[in-house]
Amino acid sequence: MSSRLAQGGMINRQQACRFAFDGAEYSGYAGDSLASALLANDVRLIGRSFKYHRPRGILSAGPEEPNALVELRSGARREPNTRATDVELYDGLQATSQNRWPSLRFDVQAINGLFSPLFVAGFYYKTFMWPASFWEKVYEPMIRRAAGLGRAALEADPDHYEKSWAHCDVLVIGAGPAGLAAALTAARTGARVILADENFALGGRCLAERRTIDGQPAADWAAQAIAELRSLPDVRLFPRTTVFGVFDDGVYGAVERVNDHLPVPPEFQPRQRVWRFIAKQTVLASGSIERPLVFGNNDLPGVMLAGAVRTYVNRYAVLPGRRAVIFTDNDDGWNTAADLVAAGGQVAAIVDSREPVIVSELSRRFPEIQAIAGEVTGARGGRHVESVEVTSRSGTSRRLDCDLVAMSGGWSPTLHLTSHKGNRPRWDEERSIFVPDMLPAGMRVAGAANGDMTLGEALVTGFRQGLTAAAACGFSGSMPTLPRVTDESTRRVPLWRVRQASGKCFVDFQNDVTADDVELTAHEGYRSIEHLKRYTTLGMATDQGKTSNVTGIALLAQQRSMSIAATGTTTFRPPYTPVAMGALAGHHRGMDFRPTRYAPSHRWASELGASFTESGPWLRAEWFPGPGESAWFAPTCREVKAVRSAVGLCDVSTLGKIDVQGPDALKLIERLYANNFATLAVGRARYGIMLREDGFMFDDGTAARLAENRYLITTTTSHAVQVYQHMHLCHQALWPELDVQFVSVTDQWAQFAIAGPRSRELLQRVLDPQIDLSNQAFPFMAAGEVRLRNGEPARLFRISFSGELAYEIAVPGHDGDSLIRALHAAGQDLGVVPYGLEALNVLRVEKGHVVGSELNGQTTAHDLGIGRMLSTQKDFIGSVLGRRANLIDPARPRLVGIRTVDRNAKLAGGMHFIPQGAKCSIEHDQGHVTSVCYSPILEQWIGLGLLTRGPERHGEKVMVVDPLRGAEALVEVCSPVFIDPEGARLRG
Amino acid sequence: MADALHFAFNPGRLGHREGAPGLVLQELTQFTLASVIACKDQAAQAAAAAQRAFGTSPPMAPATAAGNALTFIWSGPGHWLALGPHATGAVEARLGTAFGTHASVFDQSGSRVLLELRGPRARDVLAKGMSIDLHPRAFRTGDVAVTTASHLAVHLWQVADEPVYRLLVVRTWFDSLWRWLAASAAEYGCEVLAPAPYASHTA
Repeated sequence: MSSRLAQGGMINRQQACRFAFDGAEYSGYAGDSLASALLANDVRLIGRSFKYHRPRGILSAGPEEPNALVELRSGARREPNTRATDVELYDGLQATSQNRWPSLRFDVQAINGLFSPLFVAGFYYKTFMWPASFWEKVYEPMIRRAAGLGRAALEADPDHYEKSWAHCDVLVIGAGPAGLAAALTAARTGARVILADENFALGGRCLAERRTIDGQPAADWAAQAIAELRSLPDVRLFPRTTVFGVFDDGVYGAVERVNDHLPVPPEFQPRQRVWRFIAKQTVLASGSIERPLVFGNNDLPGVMLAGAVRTYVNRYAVLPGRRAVIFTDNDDGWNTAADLVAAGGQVAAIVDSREPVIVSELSRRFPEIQAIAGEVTGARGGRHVESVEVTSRSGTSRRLDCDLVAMSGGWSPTLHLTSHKGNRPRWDEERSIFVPDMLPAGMRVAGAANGDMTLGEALVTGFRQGLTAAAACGFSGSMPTLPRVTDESTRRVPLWRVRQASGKCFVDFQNDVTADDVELTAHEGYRSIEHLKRYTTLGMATDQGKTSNVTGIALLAQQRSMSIAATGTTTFRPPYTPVAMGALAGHHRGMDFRPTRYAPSHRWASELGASFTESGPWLRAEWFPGPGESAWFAPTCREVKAVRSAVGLCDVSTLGKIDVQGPDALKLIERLYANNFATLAVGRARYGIMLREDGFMFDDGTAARLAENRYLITTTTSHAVQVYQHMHLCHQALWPELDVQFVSVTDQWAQFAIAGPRSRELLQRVLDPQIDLSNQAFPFMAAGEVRLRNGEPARLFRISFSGELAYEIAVPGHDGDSLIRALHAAGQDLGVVPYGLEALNVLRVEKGHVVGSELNGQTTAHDLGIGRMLSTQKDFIGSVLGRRANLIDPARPRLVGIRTVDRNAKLAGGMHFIPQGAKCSIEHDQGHVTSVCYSPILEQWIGLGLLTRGPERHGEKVMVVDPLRGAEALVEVCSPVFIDPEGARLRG
Repeated sequence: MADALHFAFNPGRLGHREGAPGLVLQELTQFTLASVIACKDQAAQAAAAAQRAFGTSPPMAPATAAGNALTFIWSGPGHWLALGPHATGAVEARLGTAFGTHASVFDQSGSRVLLELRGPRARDVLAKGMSIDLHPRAFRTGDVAVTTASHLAVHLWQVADEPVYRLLVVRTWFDSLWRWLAASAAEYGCEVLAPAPYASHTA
């Protein structure tokens, strides 16, 4: 048995599509939606409702669908809560019903319906109140299981998504009659036009209605309009593209379902693409959504929106029922009767809730159909509607057998996008609709979205708004000759609910909110429409109340004896329909979640099998495992020992480097750094510290004077960007009078540390032999230009982070790889080893150098033992506030070294200092351990920490405790410099 | 498929294999590049100095200006990138002499990777990571944008109407940019040509 009509519709009968629903095989045609194909196969029961697990079918034919939600595809491509009415049918489609157990036809939780008094408005708050211990452990999981929507896939999505930008003069949203008209007039002026429509076929209601434009079928007019638009070079058409949000400055978010109509996207193609449309002007032509009527059991499968019935009949050539009852409060419902009859369907009756005089006037057009002035009080049936109870205005009741109820409560403008910038729509009492009021900048509204409901109005307003929008972009054109159309009648007398109904009367189908729930909410004292939404869940979930909002507002207004205008609406926010997280992420997931920055030696280090770690955006080598070594401990100890006894190589290119030039370069440097630079000679470098305005430590590094008016400053890796921003702020906002120029040269220079007693020997082998590296010619803290053995220029700095004799050599970025290889090869007989971040850390802890753990934003120069560096001879950023008494208080936690008393004990970063014998509590806390390491030189765990009055307590023993992980140790407080406190090695 | 898109940056065809590639990509090497920043209130004098030395005046608005040895790429008010073929002799000394006290010069030759992009889908590929409008009405030959591509700072300029673009990206970010470019061009097919020494565009 099939409900497919023998002819007509916009389906391709030459192209059959096999598909499966809940495992059963069916067949439809290309051009079908999943919903139309299911209806054609007489599948009416599609899902179970959210709260009561009531049987649900197909209500609508578009994005407003609250009932027919399915899981699409399977495995990693499973996609929950997909509207069958929006899904384009394809060969091989697999869909599964959701929110039912064990099966769709027999659902255990349908028994919830019997307990429905428990599930009234606010049932979460009323039912699951006590005991409180049950909230998270019992109630929450129970509610989630019972009231679930679909299931998301558990595997990673195998498909590719991407994002893109597109610019235009005029963006037209919606390709129905108004949108096509707007796009035509705008495009004919030569303006750049984007036309987007959520459906896979452009044309909107032109495809769904038996209407003529200029004497030809509306669909043919639409096809001609689309063909003309396609022929214009600066028009881009986007079918399958939902404009889901309006953002600042004419930016519109849209999602294009590039390949959702295929089982698997073709190789190299994305499944979906998120667009940022950047439009100078926008014409919103998003049409309207029909409202259901509120009567008993109005959620039974077979009860549909009247306009949707026309869509199925006219566009998809499907008769959704053999024998229909039409229930309407407006003239438009009667068109459905006409279309059903024309398609060979049977109409048992038209039930019109308005005055008998209107009904009898209209019924003259349909003498063969029984017209009743009255109301449908309830639908009857098990899993599908079988009959309706009708009560006429005279009070007589009767039962009419039917398998389809087409209901129409009038059409609401689809004005969601007009509200995304915070504007609320205005209630038009005369037409009983909300219409757009204040609009986002650059937006115009045409057609039904603006309340201009007839086909003729849609075309006129579309043409006009398209032209005005183009004119606002500087393009001129003229109005075309208006096509001939017969205007339909849109009279309506709103029926917000049937009073004498039998059975549950649903307002919000997706959330199972009934008219009684809304009225109970009012009786319980809720006054705000926003509270109605939160308390009842009306208008929530994936459909956001597209079919229910207006009715809900009207019912609340009635109960409170207020006007609908005064009751107002809730706020529409993006997205208009759900958007997959994957589409929003686009390319940027997995290792592309954020960009990765690779150091110049990366390829060489990975060839050596280095283990890498993330350090901000950088990927840095943490250690280089040798033969038979695993994990971090063995290679780190070996690397440290090699640096202390021979020579090591480390990529330090990640440090920020800023080249400062100009007559006022020194002035800028002096104001930025807290210590003196005026005395720094050309060819020398100096350690420098920067403070924040509030006097706390900001960053440290070195500044080398390369020439009279030229300095190269380095920053920590982690603060490189902030220091550069800080410098620009200072120069542009504070001291624009300074004649100074600076740029980041972090990437210009690949820079490597060569550290260890044999570093001079190694360096000599790669440098021009003429260069004298003796202590006299190139002493500690010397800086200068040198030449490599091959004649290429390089920069050399004699600075040391390890405390050993050490150099840093810099070459242009593209030469970094060859230099590190040359250094490594040249030093084999010297015992050269590459060392990573772990060894670097051990070396600096042994030497008492501070890094980010100590420069943590809460420490001062005094805290870190470098307070004597703060200049008293000059002004600098942070100098005033840094002198505050509390910031130089010796009782503050200050930098110390610690070593375990038991040489086998271990330390962990973050341990707290507690005096011996004191209770481990906050009042005895005396600071914390900032850095720890195992020192292979001292052969024990050591660390740095911030201890109250620390420098006064060298030699004292204190406890370090880690209550979180249950560890503690006794440590001796000592100088933070464990190795070579006199600095003999680095000057060697 | 995300992992399958992790292509090495080697010459060859990537992504969609049939027909002409939508994007043709070539790295240009052996160039000199320098930041030139005018000294305080000296932008006009710096421009005049460049006119004397290189036969072109660095643009005062986002654009490029090709001289006899160098192309000046606008990079900000009073701030340009000077791009030219690799030449012996330090670029800073050469440019420094020309600009004298009117501008400071910073060698950036090692700091960037320079790409040339062409092909019928070049605009579509770039639109997947760049928010600027590359339509011929908005961005023409000689125009430059200091912007981001896939969240990474780049200079992009158009060197021919075809269109042909050149793009400078910070060297240590190049791999991430390339992963995005490769993924974005895959559906149109992408041809990576062997690197070529820099030459100013003469199409």
